[in-house]
Amino acid sequence: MKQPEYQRRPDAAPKVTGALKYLTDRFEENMLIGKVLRSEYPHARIKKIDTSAAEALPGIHAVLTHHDVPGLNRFGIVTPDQPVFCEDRVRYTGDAVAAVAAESAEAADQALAAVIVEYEPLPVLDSVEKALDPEAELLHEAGNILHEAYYTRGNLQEGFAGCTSIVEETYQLPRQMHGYMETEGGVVVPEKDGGISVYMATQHGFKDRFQLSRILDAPEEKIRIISSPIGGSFGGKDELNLQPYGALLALKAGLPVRVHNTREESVRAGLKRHPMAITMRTGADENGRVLAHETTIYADTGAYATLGPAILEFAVEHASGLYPIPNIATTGVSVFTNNGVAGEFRGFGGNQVTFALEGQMDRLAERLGMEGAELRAKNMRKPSDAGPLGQEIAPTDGGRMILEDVTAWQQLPLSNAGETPWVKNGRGGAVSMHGGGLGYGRLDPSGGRLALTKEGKLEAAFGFEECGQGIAAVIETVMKDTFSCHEEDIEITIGDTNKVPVSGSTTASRGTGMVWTAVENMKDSFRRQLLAEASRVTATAAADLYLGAGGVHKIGTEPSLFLSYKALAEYVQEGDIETHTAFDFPVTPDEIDSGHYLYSFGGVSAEVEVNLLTGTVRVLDLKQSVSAGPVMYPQGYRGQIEGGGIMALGYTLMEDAVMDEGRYQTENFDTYLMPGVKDLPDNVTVKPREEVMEGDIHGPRGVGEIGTIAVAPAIAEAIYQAIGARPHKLPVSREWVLQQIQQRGLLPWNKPEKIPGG
Amino acid sequence: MDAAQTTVTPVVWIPETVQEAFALYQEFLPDAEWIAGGTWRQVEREKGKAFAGNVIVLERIFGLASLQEEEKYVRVGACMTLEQLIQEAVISREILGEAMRRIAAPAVRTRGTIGGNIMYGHGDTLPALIALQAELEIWNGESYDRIPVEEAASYDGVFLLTAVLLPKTLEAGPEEVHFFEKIGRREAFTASLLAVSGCFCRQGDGSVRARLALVGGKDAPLRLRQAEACVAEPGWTPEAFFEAFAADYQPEDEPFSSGNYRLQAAAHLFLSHLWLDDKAEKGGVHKA
Repeated sequence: MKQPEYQRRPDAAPKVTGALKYLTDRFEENMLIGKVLRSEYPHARIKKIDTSAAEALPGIHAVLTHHDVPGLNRFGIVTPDQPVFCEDRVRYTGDAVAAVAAESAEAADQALAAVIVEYEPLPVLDSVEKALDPEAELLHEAGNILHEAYYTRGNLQEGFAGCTSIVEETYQLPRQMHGYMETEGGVVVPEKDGGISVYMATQHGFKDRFQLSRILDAPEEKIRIISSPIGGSFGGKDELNLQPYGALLALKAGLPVRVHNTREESVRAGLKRHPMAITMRTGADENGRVLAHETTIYADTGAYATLGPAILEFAVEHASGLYPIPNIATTGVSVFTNNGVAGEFRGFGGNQVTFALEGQMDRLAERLGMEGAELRAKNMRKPSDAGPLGQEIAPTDGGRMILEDVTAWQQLPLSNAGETPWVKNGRGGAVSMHGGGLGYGRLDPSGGRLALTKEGKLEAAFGFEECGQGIAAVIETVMKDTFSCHEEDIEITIGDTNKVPVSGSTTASRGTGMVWTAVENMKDSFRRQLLAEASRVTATAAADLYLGAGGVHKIGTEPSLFLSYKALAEYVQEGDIETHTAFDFPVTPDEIDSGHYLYSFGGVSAEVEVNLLTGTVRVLDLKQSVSAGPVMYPQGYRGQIEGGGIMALGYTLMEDAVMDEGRYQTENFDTYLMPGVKDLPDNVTVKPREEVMEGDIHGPRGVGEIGTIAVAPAIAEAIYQAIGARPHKLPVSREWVLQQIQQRGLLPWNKPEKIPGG
Repeated sequence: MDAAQTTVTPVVWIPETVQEAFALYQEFLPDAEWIAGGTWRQVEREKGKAFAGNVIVLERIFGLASLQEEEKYVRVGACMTLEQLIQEAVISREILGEAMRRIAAPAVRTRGTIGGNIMYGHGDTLPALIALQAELEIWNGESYDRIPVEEAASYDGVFLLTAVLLPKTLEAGPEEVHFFEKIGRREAFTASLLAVSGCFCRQGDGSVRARLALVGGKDAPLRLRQAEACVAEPGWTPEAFFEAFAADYQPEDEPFSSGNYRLQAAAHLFLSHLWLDDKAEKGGVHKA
């Protein structure tokens, strides 16, 4: 059933009216306020921690340090290397040293101020170069390299030998901040059975439960994670943040504890997108066939691992993107520094490497005297081609489809050519390919549950989180589509480890596809159960019954509603009508670590207006073509692509969490600027290309990330088309643009030699 | 953030006269500050700059929140909010209105005052006010005084700004060109990297009679006297303008913009208004 373009999402009204209570709004009787003391230095030895004065203050119920962690004093989704509380060394200014629970925020602040920590500052390794210096102090036992990843095929040297055109460039990518409206936090409640309930946002409740059980040395069953609704995440709340402190403080104090980062604390301790320096050398023969492609990636992963290795591997995988180039050598190195921790972020390494790859394609096209779209078409993957790591993937023609749209859009006239003085316009296009799911060799389970509740609702239960992306609307839509019911017939259960089945993480563009697959798996059994029970209680042949709005309908009667779900529920016990499914995210059959199987594709066309006087770049038009299978919830799909596009616009033109000697210079949204409404393009187009290959059984692919990937290279090319200079560093600064304008003499008085300092 | 600092609660004084506000300030110095809309102080406080022990609120003082049209000027009370002034046609149609429309966001403009924008030292209204030859009405503890806007920073002694006096003689028209332009780090709701403004009248001989001013980043507002003198010469050239302008303005590097960028961009913005040239680039695609 085709969905209308606009329909109210289930969480819309409480969100827009402000009635919705987020987990950070939660209030409990006798609730204490918890606060975390973070390091004064980006890198230092801890010589002494003295909490006695803090403990003696009135209104203080708990003061904790590393001595108070009963289990593993470490966290990290894959490699637990980040101290809950530092013992003898701090590695970034977000490192926690102590935590307090007090009767008021003021008392907690005073207690933090009374904790005495003596540090011995150490040299700050605030760049990849410094950290890789052989003389550099080792930040971790195994050294300053978190992870290396490689991919090679063919023979690079021979490949380049056959090239007539070769381009090389180093691309610099910034440290982007997720910028969710709700900072990290929530409430932890100690329960009578010795367990805890953790009301805090996460993208994977069961993973938080696992990590907390390891820290608390408590069985997982004693820990309940309630994790939705979430005021934005974008990957940033995937890793643990304040959960350990809330949990340890609540258990120590025996009272509920609220912890909630200020924006400054969130900036300081939270994850960011990996800054990367990517050098690419790419060559083609005289016909424009790309023969050789060499990539070296250095990622600044900050002080701790979190998912840094997986992000690096994702970047390495996507270094050749949609182009099955015969000779490839890709090297990735993820390096520990004393900068803020880099980790999970919408796009997961694909944004950085695609900016570089598509930049190479435009440079190469120019060298060959070709249009960028033509070069891309010549080298575009075919539906049956292997994936970028040579692995078998689900056949797809998505790359060709989105390139077709981008190519057509490149022919559109510029919106204000010849009208406004002091501006030049340009249009650019770029394409991308993005793997969904966690990849080969990683546990990536999913599942769901359907049940008739005792109130007569069709319960759809999933272990996914609602962080604004619209998974609740997807679940509702899939349920309505499948069972022809109304939204009021459905009860969605998510975000509570005591109530939901294992569905895996709410990451990696996997939610929508997993919901669809789960319901596909369960629908026949669930329908059969409902009809069988309805048949039994009404003594009517099941063959005469079908599911519809409100309940079970009967063929040939008017009105057709025969037995409401509410009535049916009265005849059955809870659990009588219930079905489950458990399965894994589809992976490539080839044993290639981290290789993906399902890919989505995104093509972008951007028109910019460059102000020649100031170097200001405005994006006037942003069009995105997306191939990600059938659209489930059109409004959410559009929202993801438009929102992703704007997030990427910020990444391209203004966002950078600047660090100086390991300290953030952008501590709040007055200095860390994200696009405001006036920075948005006048025109935004989202064009879904829903066609899939014949026989494709995988349904919708998620679109949480694909709208963010190819935007930066498209804008960069548009800038080039406007002023003749190719950006290689993001964000593209006004200063750099103005320099390029001056060097090219684009202003009438603008003779470079005559400008002081020009 | 110094946690202890932010938890101190200041004493809030709400005087009803200018004289009372001044006396309170003198009484509690140095542990005192005046506050109007408080929008900028809120940002500073968030960054750890605590309030003084005595905060003297100016918004209840009679006569500071009204606008009067006199014969030769418009008197704007220092505590009028930016939004109130944007709604006043006499302000709104001029470049001062444009400057205020570009400040921050609606919520800030509803609270923030013109006096606050002037007195925090880098406000976007400053170059427009200088270009428009506005004066400040101040109370210096003994008497009311009038000083040019550009002299506020160097005034000898403490004063309380009570009003802005905007000359009515200077209206934009076919002969008299007024402009205001701002560059921030994004299109709106951003502190300015640079705000430039000018009022000028082109003479028959190609010379330009101009008042030019700017404020940029942390720089104090500046009237560009050498640049003004340059364009007052018949036959002035962009090169000569750059030279004179660079003599007026030597901006330093700041975290989010280099001095050189502000110098170059400001020069281009001024020239785009002052320099008549039929070769001005008109959009279009770059042709390599």
